[in-house]
Amino acid sequence: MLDLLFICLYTLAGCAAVLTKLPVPALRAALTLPMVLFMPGYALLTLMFPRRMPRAVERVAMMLGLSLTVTAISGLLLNWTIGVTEGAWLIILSAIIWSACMGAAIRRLLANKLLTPPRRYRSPLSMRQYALLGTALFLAVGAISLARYGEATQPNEPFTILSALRDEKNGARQVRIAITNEEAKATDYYLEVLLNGKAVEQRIPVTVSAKAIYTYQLVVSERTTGKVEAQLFKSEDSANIYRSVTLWLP
Amino acid sequence: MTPSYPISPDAQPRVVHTFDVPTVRQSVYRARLRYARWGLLPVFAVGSGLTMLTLAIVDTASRYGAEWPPALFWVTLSMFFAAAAGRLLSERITPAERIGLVVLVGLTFYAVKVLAYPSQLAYFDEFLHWQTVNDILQTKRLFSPNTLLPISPLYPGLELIASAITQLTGLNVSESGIILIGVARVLLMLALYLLFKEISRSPRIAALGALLYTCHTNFLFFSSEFSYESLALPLATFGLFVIARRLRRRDFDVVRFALLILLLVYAVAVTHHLTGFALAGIVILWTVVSLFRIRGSRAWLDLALIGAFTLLIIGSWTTYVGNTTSAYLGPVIQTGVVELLRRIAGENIGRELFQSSTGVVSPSWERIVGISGVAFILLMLPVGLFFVWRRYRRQALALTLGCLVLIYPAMQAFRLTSRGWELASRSAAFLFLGIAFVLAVGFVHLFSGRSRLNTRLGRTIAIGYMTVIFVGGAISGWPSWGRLPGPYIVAGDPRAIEAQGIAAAEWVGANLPPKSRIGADRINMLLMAALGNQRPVTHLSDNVDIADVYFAPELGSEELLLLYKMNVRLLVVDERITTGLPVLGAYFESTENGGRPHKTPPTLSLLEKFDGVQGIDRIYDGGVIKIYDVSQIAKAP
Repeated sequence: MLDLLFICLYTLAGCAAVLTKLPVPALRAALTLPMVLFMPGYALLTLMFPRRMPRAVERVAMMLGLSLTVTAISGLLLNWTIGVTEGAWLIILSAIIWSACMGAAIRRLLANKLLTPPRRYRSPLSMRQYALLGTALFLAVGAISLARYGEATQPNEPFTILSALRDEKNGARQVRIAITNEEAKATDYYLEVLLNGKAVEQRIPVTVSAKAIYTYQLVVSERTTGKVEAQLFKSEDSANIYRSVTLWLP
Repeated sequence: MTPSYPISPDAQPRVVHTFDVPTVRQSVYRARLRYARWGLLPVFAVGSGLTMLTLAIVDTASRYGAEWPPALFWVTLSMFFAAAAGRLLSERITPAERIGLVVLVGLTFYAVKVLAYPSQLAYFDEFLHWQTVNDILQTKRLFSPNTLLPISPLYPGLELIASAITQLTGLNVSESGIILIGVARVLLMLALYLLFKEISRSPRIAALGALLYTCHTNFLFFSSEFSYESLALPLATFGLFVIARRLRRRDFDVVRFALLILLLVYAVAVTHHLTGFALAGIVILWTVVSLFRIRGSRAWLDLALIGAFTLLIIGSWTTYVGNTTSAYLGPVIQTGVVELLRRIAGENIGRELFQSSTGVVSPSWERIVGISGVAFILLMLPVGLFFVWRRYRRQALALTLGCLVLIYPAMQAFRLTSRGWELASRSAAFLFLGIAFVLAVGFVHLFSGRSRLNTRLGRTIAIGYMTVIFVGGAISGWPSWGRLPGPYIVAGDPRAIEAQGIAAAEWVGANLPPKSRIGADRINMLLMAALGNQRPVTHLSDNVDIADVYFAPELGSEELLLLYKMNVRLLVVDERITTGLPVLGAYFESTENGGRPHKTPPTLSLLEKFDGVQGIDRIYDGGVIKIYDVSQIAKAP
């Protein structure tokens, strides 16, 4: 009975985590992940086998297999009804888990198994075995951390993005030019903006910090046509165009 | 009440020890027995942790361009596999330890792929399914078209579970996908163990069979990807176990069994076409074997019912929902068979083994081990089949798996064809259900009890033999440049996905209207779809080659007409494609350049032709990646 109660309460906590948009991502994941991957299967398993559950290995396999299966098929039902939304998942998975648990409780009651005292817990592992498993877990976490560190620090060519987008508001045309610095350090640039070959802005000095975005807006009348060009130079190589973008105003 | 048997008045009452209050010695003895169930599993767990740590070191060093990582990669994996094989071949370990070890091996080998790219899905097929998940998350409905892989939304099982995880946990799609496939991997290893145990009734054969299943060509990489087969295969294997269990033990009542099998078959049907067909095929073959082989048993009737039911569900889904399946799979099979026949007829076509499209040949040791792996399997199969016949010929499923094995040699011939090699590669995951079982039966019977081979030397040779099969399979299944992360490679799927491409896709996603039609090369197409929320124009979906626009010497009327017809708004130009030949044979799609391989990379001038054309806006310049807005010129022919 305790297992069913635990599952129902855990599911309730998962629902609360989703509904309150729990701001601790790891805790929210820990509370809700079993609702998809483990609990529907376990609940259905207890419903199907009220008297005697299958052996542990079969139980685990059935729990995983049933959970994945039930979630996939529930998704199809949601698609054909209210849509595959966060709330819909919450409703259907909680309903499956709770109703299966209630069904299992009733079947256990009928089988006179509901109030069977749980077996005394005995640790399956010795302290030394726990220590070894702890070491293994530590090594695995270390491996993932190292891999993520390697991925984040992989040598990449630094770069700068120059972009231009047209915007039309209140009868005026705007050209939004942006410099995004991905050079991994603050960088000095010169920005030149030309309209039909004539400089609108001559070599504006711009310093953009790492990962920051500098935005320049050019406003022209609705009737202006022709080519708008933005050219970016690096201060240490101001003779050569580093990046350039072009917009045609029809 | 008077007892009916005589009791001597002097008799002492007999003390019966019920151990209600055990002595310290008894408690210690029981605890030791309990702890002994897991044997060396905790030690292997530490070994697994060390293997993962070494792999992380290998991956990190490889990212920095070091040359030694591949050697350490193979040594680490071989040692772990050999240690597990040695332990599982042993006769004196408990079933609990065997099961734990099988799951541990499955997870450790899954870590090979996860540690290479730990924070984001990075392989080609993963992006295709990522796109389908994105569509579900955005539209809240299924079956939105996915131009990268039109068949993917029609089999949404994987994406549905991933979207449930993403929506409920708040994790991103990559994290959800990695967790989901990890759970599927655990299910696969347990299902393999249970299936083989159900057939052989031997935990030793079951665990060794599950271990040998990891030797198939795709186990390390392709089957670890966030892809529909990675989920469907565990479900199908588990389904086979449920059927086998019901037929043998009959301790499930009909209702429970029908419910379980209905759910499983339906889940397989909505998840992956090939796995569905394979499941139906195996059940039908099992029925036939059962009918002709197991006389006097009515099991074939049950199996026929299950087979018909499986076929009905899978056939219905394929016909009414996944109706493009034959168009998707048909050409691959047809071209593969035609190419093979032409090769047999002596024509110099097809594919060179161990050679990439750029002409890079694998190291000689890899070629030797790769071929040895296949040869070792072919050599051991007759031995295994002999023991299967001798010990399990009244077991219909054992014979069915034996029949499955016979397809393996024929499928190897497809490896010599350029389109059919995919058939050989993809069929391995299904054929190895039989191969792993047959090999395990062979090894266990050769190295059991009083067998002459059952010596330390004999077992060492067997472990080496199995390790060659494992390494050979991994070599044949994935190209050398794709096994480890590292510097950029032209069109080299995970090796070509890096910061500049990701930044461009994220910029497009943040600044441009969603689902604009976009033309891009193989890699940027993936990024623009999954991260930029755009709709790539593809040959698979639109029946045009956008590559023609890029490779044309100038932007002429044909190219403009194509852009107009396809209503293309954006073109992504990645200048890095001019730096080398594509490692997989195509810069865009396999149909480009008339399906012929490229001899030289395109010149930069071909890609610069969009500059200065009136009406084409260059809206993004990130250095090597440029994005053009062609909506003005694509409006009118």
